[in-house]
Amino acid sequence: MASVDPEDTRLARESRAGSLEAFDGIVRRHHASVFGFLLGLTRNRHDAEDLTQETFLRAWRKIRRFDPSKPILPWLLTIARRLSIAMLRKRKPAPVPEAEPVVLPSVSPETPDLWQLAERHLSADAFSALWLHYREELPLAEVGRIIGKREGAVKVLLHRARNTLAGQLRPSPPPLPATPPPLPSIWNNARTTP
Amino acid sequence: MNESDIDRLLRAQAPDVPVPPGLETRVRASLRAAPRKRLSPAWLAASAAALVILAVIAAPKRPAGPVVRQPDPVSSPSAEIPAGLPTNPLDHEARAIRNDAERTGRFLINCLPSLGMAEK
Repeated sequence: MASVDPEDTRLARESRAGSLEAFDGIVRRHHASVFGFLLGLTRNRHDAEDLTQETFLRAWRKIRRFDPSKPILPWLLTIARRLSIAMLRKRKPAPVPEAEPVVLPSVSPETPDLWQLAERHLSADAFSALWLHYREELPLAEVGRIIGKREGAVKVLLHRARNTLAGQLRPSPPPLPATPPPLPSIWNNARTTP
Repeated sequence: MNESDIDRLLRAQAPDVPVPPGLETRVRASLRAAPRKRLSPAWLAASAAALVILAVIAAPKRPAGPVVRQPDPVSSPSAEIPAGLPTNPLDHEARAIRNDAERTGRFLINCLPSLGMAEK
């Protein structure tokens, strides 16, 4: 289980007691993480903003159900993921909006940013798992709880994601020439001489 | 580049997502605009009334008069010895054994009609 921040525990306890100011503290500490995670899921900045707002609203309404002895971020991210799934289900018949980049382009163009590659080449689930494990530094069990998979399945997902990225970074073989080189002259001689 | 290199790079290159500047304020404002849902007194009264109605409907009804036990249609009561208040505790046992014997006899006669003919 992820380590519990004592400040988070205090804020969660006070929020459970009804303190909106304490919940503001939770918003201040975690809204960026929730937004980043939702941006990875929806690939749309506007949707991610709306869902972040909805996530904290839902969390405030359900804060009494939260156990303050547990870390709050995985709980918030679980709510966020459920809301994003509900939103995507509702929007299914409509045309899918153009995906926006989640991560900024790397500073130096020579070194490709792994996260950009991940965004381009991985499925939404794999990208979420990667994000939660490496960006939010959550343990596998916690990642599994958030994305609705078992710990073993998360391990496999991450392994495949890393392999995909490694494959993308492997130097590609030199391109084949468009026209094949001419045959050696000895071959032509052999064909003409009886 | 192998998997462990990727693992190391992913940790080293953890991206920073630019958060919209007004997002925190927007979230906090929405929290204040939509206070936590509480049960209103009207809802509490309605649910209490519904509970009372359910209790009244589900309560077992008492019979108005004394219970009259219907005779068992399988065993004909006329053939059996009527049950009265036993003076001797063994009377009850004896009556039960007699009833059993009669029932068995009737069963055998029904199943094997030739037995009744032979008795005649």
